[in-house]
Amino acid sequence: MIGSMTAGCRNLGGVRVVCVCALSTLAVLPGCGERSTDASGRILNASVLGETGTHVGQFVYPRGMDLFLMDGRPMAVIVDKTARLQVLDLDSGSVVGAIKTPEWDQGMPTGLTVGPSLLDAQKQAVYVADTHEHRVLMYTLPLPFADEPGATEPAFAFGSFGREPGEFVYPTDIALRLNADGSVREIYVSEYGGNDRVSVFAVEHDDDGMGVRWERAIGVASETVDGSDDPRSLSRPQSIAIRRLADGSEELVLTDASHHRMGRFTLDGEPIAWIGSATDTDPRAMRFPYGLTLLDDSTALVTEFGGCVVRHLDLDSGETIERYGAPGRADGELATPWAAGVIDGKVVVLDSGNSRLQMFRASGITGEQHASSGGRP
Amino acid sequence: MIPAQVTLGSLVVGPIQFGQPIMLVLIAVLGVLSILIARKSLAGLGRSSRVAALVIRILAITLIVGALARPEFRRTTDAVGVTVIVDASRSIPTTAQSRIDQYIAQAQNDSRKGEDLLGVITAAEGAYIQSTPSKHTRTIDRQFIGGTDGTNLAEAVNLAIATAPKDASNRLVLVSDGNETDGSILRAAQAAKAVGIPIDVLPVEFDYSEEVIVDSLQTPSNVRVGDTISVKVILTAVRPAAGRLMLSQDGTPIDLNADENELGEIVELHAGRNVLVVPVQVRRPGPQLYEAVFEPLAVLDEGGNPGATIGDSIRENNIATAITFVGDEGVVLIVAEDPAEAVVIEDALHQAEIQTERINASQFASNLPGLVSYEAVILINESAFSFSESQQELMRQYVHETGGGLVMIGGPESFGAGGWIGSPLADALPIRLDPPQKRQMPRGALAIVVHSVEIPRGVFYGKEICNAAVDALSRLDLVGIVEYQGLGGTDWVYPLSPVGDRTAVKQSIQDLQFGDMPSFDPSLQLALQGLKNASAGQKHCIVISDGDPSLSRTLLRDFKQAGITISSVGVNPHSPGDTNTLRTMARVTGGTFYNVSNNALATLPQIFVKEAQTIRRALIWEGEPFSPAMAGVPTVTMRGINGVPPIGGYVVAAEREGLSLVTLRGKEEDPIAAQWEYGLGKVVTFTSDVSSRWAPAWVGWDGFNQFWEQHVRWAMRPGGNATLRVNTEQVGERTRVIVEAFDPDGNRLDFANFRARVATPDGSGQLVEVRQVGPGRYEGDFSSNDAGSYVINMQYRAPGKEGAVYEGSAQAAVTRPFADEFRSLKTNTPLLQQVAAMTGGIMLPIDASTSNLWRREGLTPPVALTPVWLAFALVGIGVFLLDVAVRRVRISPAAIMASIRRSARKEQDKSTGAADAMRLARTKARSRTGDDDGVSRKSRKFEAAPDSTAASAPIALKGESETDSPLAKPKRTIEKDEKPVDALSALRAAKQRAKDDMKDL
Repeated sequence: MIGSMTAGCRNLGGVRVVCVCALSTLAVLPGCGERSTDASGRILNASVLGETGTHVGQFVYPRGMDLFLMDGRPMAVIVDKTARLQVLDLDSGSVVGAIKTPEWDQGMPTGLTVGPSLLDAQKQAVYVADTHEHRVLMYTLPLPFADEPGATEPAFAFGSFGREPGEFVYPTDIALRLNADGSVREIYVSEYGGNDRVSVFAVEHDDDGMGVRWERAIGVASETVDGSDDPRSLSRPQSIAIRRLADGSEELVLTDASHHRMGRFTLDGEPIAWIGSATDTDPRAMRFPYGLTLLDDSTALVTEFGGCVVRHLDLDSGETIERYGAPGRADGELATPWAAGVIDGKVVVLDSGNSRLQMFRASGITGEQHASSGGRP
Repeated sequence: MIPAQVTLGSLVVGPIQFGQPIMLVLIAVLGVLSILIARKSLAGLGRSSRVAALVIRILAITLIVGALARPEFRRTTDAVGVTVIVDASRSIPTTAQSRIDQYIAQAQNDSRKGEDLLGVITAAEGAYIQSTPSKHTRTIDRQFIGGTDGTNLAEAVNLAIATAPKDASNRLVLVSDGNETDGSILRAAQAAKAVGIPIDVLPVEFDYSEEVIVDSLQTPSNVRVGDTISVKVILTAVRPAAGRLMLSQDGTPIDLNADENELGEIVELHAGRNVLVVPVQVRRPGPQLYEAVFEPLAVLDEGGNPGATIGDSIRENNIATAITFVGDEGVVLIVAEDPAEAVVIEDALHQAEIQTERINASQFASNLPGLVSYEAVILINESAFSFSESQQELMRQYVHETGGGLVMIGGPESFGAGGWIGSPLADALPIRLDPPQKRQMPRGALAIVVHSVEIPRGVFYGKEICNAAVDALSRLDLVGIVEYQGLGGTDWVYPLSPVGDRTAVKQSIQDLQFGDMPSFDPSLQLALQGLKNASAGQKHCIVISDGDPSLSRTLLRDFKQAGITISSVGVNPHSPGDTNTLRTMARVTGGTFYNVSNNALATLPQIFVKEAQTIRRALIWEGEPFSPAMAGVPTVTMRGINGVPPIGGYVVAAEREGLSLVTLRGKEEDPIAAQWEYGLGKVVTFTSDVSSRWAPAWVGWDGFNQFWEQHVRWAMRPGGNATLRVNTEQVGERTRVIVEAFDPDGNRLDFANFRARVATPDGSGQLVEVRQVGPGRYEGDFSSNDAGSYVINMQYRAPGKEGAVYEGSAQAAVTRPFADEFRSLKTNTPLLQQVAAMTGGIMLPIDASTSNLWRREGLTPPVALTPVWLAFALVGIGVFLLDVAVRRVRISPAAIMASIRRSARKEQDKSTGAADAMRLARTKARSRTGDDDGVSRKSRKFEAAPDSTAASAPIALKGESETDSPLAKPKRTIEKDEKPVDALSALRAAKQRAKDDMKDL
């Protein structure tokens, strides 16, 4: 069709050039400038990876995801409700590694972050918020295939149940603060279940090896439905990330899920700003923001478990730029999503309720995943 | 050559299938017609044009007729979908299960192609899909497999057929020992054959070579108190073995050897059938349940010496039971917590020479034989919570199936106030426990907040719990359910509204999704708001959760301020933190916290019933004493009673429509005493009490004994006068009941009308149709395929001499000792071979490496059909237009060649200047118009010819056209004032001009 139209333009001299260019643009850059969603918010042209099941390449209600590059290829590491971590090659759709966490009698992990290994900063590792086992695990990447529980022991683990400083009830996510040389300086762990705080651990090396030491906590558990009892009150901080600003300073960004808002804190724990319906002119209020990914253009992707949508918003103004997704089971629709990220220009959404990933390109999302969101060390 | 295939009602030509091939006949008919017509209509064309036109016309006809024949494009796929059906029943040894998994994991790898699909279904008592056919499935993962005390291979095969992917060729692999206890695998195999799905079989080989089975326990069916009966235990041993035999009577062990300190007796069994006879003296009347248990100790060698191994491996087939009926005067069972209340009834009955036994609820029987020995049961001020759900069902069954009597006497813990609303026994009562609709009573409001129940079959249990809670409420109470729905957020799935007939709320419960809520807050806020606005006396909230959503403490204080209690039920909390959240919820609001572990799920509905009951206290009426009004209908129960003393309280209930009879009425016509026949039995209710609390005047009333004797005697199971001989025999999975009836003179009793029911082990009952098959001989049968005891109860009426009527009743019992699953001692390979042969499958080799699950042989690749009639029609229309064009538009090869030459010349002219091109064009134009001398046409009046003599010639500014001007050789045109030329002439002229043009070229 394009060929015949080009031939038709031939006799029009100079017009022909314009015509060919226009056709080339249509042919080569499909989707460029097009809307990524329809009027109801459904994502257009989304490609789907994964299905429900317990075999390799299948998921049972996946609840944690992070994206990273391995040998230049885009990868996603995903943990589901069978306590399996699977590394998925997003280009080919094949699984390149899968393990099971050692124990899950109490429940399964819900948060993942990829970053430099604590043992060797040159290597990548995946940090697992082993929520219902009340601890943090670290596995060095790449992961092998070892489906038997505990066949692969974590390279490093810390944490135990409790309400004292340094103890966890339900850890939900991990963020890494890095040194200039790329090694991990501090580990931030968010949790809920009565603690509802972000604990900060310093990474220490000495002659005996490496360890973590509790330093401080950010936020306090909320007593109220709307978080009005304390300027720092949190209720289920589900995701956290370290934001590096242009001037080199850093701040902690988190989703305060049960208060339906996001918060920006100094690394010392002082609140900077809350982002939610109070700061946003978007008519649709944020509902249970679970996933958070910072992009390098001062925007963020927030995955709303309750809203079944991925919200792209400006961190400084608190304004929503665009929303992607609508509740449902069809392609382009989302059911209780837990996480989203951007890699190689593609937005990847963990569509948990549908036990799958959905990938799409969005013209409005130009930033790449921020290093401290995990995944792009 | 395009292969053609004719199937029933369709024709396949290459990739195209015609759904209505009969239409294709039109091609031949219309083709011949076209040829005939063309001989005349196309005669004016040249030969080649005529042939072309004819061919195109036939082609158009072919395509359009083809469109009418419903053409469809066929696509086939090469993928193979294999569904493995794994026998997960208990007849397969555990060690064999892991071998099966390894076999399949290894076998599925070989020759598997990328698009091939593997699915897994387990078969035991029921069939469950473990993996739907998927290219990702590589191994057998067992999730929920249901009960394993049976094997229903047929259900699994049917399920596999139903879930077979439509886009692949399908094959089933049946891995089993071939011992089925339910369904028919052969019938299912026929279904598989019918849809072209072969079944490969892999027999699981095993052989229980040292097994001991207690085949049966035999006791006389009817004896009298004091008789010594012979209890026969029949055992089958594959090898000689020794073990301890134990016998019990209604749960009480019988000492078989007084010389030993231990109960039971050590016996030695020889290979084959062994019969052990134990004499037992019968000491009390009624049905007696005997149970024999064999505990293996060791296998014996040929010399009778014990070996090193126990041998016997299946414990389930070491138990057998039997029932004997012991006749005597009836005994009435009184169940009461307060002895003072029981004593007054006991005294009344003893004076009437009715024997009684008194127990409290904790001593109540847990099986039917333990209850059937009583002629009637009297419950005095007993609450439903004192009995398990199964005991309540047992009472209902006791009345309905066995003809026992039930007398329920009230009190503050009884009837609706005691949680009996919605209980199994409520159906058996002659009154409705819900208050009458007309009564204005303070009502309760209950909001249920449900969270995901993360346990196997959690959704099922969750729905059962909600149903139980709703059942326990009265129709006037308010109930609402709040749920977190994954896609829709938190909302009332059933808004707070009256329970009514429960249809709507139960439909909402059926639709519950049990979403995983992140926070309790939105749900509790909704519940709080709803309960606050509700017009109800007592308000309560129940939360069921694993406790991991977040919770705001201030919200709990809001509940407390509103006077609304929350009871929390922790189902498998993940951590102490979760438990603490739920406990706090209950503590702060004044409710109750229940912690339920996985293995205590059965108690969940009870918890909800009890919780719902907290809003049920409004059903008690207490006030100024009054004498209940007597109904005018004379009854046996009220014979000789002309009035009753006053009562000061009772539990409000409603009259039940139908056959129930209210004999005493209270305020606003509330039933106080009522009675009816329920199934084979009779039931009496008295909603006031027999204590000084509500009826102090009754205890001293001189009609008290008469009142209760008459009511209890009416309810008691009737005795029989005629003699019945009842025998049973097992026929497959059914039991036949054979009754021989005699009248009091010993003659055979004919024309008796039997009402018979059987109480089955699962707690349900079924009607047994007993028909006369010979003189005094009657037969009926019922299904008895489950393990356990079946108690058959029969009542009859028969015409006697001189208008007399003979009445009587009889009981019989049958026991199935254990599930047939445990009778299988070796693999049923022939059955599996038959299944494979019937469906075109094979017996898979034992060596997994040589086993090819993905064989393509014998499989019919699936065909996907896409309608293409539109394409046929469109192309046909296009060809039809071409047909018109061929006939109407003459195409000259010379003209085409000229056009090509002209194009070539144009290309050449591109190298010359624009002026030359213009000139050339003008020259050509002149040549076409015949203006060879290069003079402009007259009509181009503003264009001067370079060599014209126009300057000297007169110029006409207006007026007539200068037809005689030497400057112009005008082309003929039709002026306005010229006479019109007829169309045919104009066409002829145009044709001539065209010919001239061609000549010019």
